[in-house]
Amino acid sequence: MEIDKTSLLVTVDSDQTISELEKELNRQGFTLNYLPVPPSNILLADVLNERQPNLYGEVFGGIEDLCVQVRLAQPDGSVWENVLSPRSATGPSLKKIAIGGGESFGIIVQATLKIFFQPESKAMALVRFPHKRQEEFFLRTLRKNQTPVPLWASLPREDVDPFFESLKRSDRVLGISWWGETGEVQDQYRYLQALAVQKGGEWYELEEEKGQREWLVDLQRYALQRIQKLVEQNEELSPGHRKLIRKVQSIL
Amino acid sequence: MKSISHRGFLTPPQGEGGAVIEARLKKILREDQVSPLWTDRLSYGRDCNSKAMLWVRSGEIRYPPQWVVWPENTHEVSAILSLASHLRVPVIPFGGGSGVCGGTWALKGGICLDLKRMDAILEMDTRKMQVRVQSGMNGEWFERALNRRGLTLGHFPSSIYAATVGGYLACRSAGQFSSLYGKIEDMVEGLEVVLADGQILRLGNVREQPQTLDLKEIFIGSEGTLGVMTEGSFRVHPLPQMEAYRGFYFSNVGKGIQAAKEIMQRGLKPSVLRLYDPLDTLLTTSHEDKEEEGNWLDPLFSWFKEQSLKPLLRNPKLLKNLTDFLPARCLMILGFQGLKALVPGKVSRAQEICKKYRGKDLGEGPGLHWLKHRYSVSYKLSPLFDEGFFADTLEVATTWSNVLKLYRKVREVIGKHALVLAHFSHAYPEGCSIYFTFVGYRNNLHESEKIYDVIWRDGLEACVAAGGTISHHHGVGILKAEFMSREWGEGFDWLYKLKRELDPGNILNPGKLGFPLVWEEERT
Repeated sequence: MEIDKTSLLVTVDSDQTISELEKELNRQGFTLNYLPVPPSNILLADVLNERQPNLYGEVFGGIEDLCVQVRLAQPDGSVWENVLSPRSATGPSLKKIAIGGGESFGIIVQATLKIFFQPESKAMALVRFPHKRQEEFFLRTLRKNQTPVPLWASLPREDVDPFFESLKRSDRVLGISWWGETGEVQDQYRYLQALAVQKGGEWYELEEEKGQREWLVDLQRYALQRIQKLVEQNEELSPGHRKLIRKVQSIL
Repeated sequence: MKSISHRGFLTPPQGEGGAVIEARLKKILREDQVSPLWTDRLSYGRDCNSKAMLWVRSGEIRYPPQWVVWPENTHEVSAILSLASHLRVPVIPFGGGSGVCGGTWALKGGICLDLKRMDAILEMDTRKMQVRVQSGMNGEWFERALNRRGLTLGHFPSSIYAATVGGYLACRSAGQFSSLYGKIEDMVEGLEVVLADGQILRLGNVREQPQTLDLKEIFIGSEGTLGVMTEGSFRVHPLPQMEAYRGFYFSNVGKGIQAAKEIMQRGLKPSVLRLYDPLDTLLTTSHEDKEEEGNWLDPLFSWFKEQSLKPLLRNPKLLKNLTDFLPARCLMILGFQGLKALVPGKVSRAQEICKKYRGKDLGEGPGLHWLKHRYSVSYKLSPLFDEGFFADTLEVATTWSNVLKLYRKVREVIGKHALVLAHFSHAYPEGCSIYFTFVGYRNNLHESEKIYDVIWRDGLEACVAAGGTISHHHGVGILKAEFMSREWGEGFDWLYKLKRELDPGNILNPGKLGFPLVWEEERT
């Protein structure tokens, strides 16, 4: 594993698991800001081959955005790689075609990924909206204004009850979490709270660190279920689309 | 005025073959949608590439198409491509003609497919914040239509008045606010593409579909060589509640880069971050106190017009030594857009970072001046050519750890032949783009062309050697075609096979993006 602390990049062999990589980065003060849908012990190679969605993707992008360079081993022994650059305009993107392309384009043996400083502070809140529509409107407004939260999920009442008696009135409660530099997290806190109240929500903060940790695990679990559901609901590709995929994959 | 003529191997559409093609085109399209006229062919025989500008001023259009056609819907595009495939006639998709890499030159003649009549907004979904638009839509008109609904695409290339949405997609364009909104490839949600054989494909968003090849990525940036993009769906944003701009002086490029890097890596997401090197700073700021319209090229132009620089530009080494004595200060322009609740905090955190690197806060003046004149530069090059100079821009990109090396290497090699200035922009957490501008002077077209080619060859060579990408957002066209395989390495073989598979007749914009003008086995 090689970390470029100037460009905030890590170059790593693809046979590492995401959890190992994240742990090692955490030790050095960094994070991937990537949590795949099947989170336990998935290999980086599988994440890239399958283009596994990122739980924090609304803010930090998918694995295809977080990955800056891939190295692809070919059956003839040659290795392909895209140029190491934040962006380029030299034709189609080999990297983005390879990520999610199975192993049609070779075996991804190494990748360079973006890394982030571990956040100075994290915040978490619960918001109870009287109606589902208001919750949706709140989330849509965040997305529209380019201020989405990296982690959110609708939580069922039974998980919320032990913490907040007053929340028993709701069927579901929206859990949100965001992180970054202290000043920014505080600015966002004020904005999110004001917006939630404006949209008819009741805001509950979670200050205790211990409580937050437990909640975070629940929040992740429900957020993962949400993404999984999205993936399952995907529309079928058109026959023309499928045919072209087969054609492109057959070239090699 | 000099008369304009075509030169070289191109044959005007004469004889039986030409007549048959024209008649078949007129069966697909109305009479007024097909033109074999010289006036049209000459108009479409060039783009905004500097060499093409030199040729025009010498009375030449070297690569005109044989016909210009204006389809009005996707089915017409499909029928034209189907015909062209059958008869093996080249087809060159054309948008606003504002490309700078020779990407629309009709190297083998053929049909110029101007998509500007396909300029409708087909769907505007304010709930999903998505807009579906035809690719001939002009960039500025598109933005204005979105603004009327309180929306923005967030894409503001300096060519916005001329460029089309299809052109944006064809060359992976970047706008001036790319640090916040991303490049065009970050905005696309779906595409409609017509393949060489006329097949129409709709490619949706597969971001949330694991194990599915994202075919959009094949066509975005393909410069019309793999298919013709007729429609795109884009993510749009609400107009920002507020904008804020600041200017800072740094004592040298290195300090400015450190500040820029930290601003990006601490997640401040400015809409604009531009750092000018000393010469670019000198020229940019020399105009700021004046009231009249203009931009940094104006003083440069006045200077050149007086002919004082012509002898110097013939001796670039001497010029380089002189510019080395310039004050080393560098101007940074920072802009933020977004919510009133968040923008002021971002500005103050950016000010803290700049202060840490001893940046001198100049207030909002330089940023507002830049904002007012941000598109002017693209329209100010022409007078330089009238005076016999040549000028061009080279936009490369790399990671932060490599950016100073790349800047020095490319500047050094170009500086041997011309005056060179640069700014750093399109910043990301992991790196940025470097935008070099060079200006040269030689006594005649032949000499100018020769040195222009040398500058490009040496500049791109230095870029590849230093590990940068040869293009951040202008694309490849014919200008950088030779260096495509250098940048792609062995992966280019796959791209070549893909081209052969999707376009076996090599009719789609032949000779661009590093693909051959003629298949190897047909070269006799």
